Amino acid sequence: MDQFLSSVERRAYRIAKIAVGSHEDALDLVQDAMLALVQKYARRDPEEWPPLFHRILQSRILDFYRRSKVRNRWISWLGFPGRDDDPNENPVDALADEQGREPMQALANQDSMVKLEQALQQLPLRQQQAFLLRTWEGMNVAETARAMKCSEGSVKTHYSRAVHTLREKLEGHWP
Amino acid sequence: MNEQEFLKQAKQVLDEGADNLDAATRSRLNQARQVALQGLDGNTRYRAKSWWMLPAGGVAMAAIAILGSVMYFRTSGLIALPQNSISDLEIVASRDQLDMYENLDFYQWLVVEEDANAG
Repeated sequence: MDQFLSSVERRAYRIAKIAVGSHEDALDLVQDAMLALVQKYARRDPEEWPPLFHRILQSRILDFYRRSKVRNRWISWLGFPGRDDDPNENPVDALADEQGREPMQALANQDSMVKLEQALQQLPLRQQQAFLLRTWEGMNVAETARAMKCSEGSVKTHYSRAVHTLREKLEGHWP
Repeated sequence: MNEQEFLKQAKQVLDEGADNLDAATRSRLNQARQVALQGLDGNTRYRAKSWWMLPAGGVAMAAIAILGSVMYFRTSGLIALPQNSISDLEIVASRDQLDMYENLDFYQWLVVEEDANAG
């Protein structure tokens, strides 16, 4: 289990970071997925761990989106100050970097990665998930459908649209 | 660049991004893994820091407090509820249900896979 988690944790973090945009939230999501896998499925055949782990992670990401939306609606309605309203906090620092840019990523040799992350973050979440699971994790259509809790037809549609959009945005900008 | 070349380059770029994570993030991931692995011994229970992973009891108490406030203000005619307020509360308090549903769905998939393999 240690070896498996070690092999998948960096990619899982990047997937979560691209999805939610926040470093801390991405770490929390990955840790939560690791815990769920260990606590519920450690006794399973190790061959089942990759699809199970990504299924849990994607579920947590969707859950995060849904709860964040609800929380923001209630915070707004109740008139509580949000993070951006904290007088001791620099609003620029608190602002989510929707383009995923970080100082290290601004280095010239990471320009391609920045462009790809920007393009990925602009995709609808389901297209983003389908692309990352198929292209990066190497899952087939059926495995991706299970991880995303949707039909294989939906996976094909999301993936196809993602590839089309990404090629349109990135080709000509990549070396 | 055809589609296969594009996908190959995309994967390469993503791999480089994961390989070149900063030391602080790698350390945090390592710590997260160690915490998770302690669960193998069954003697450690993780408590998440995120607000959305609060224990169900705390969430329920918060929901009751919010509902009380809502009913007071609503009956006094001062404010109107946001849309979907009741379903929101259900979502906030539905952590256990989600986990159960998640597992059931997976078991169903396993049955289908086994049936397919048997056939």
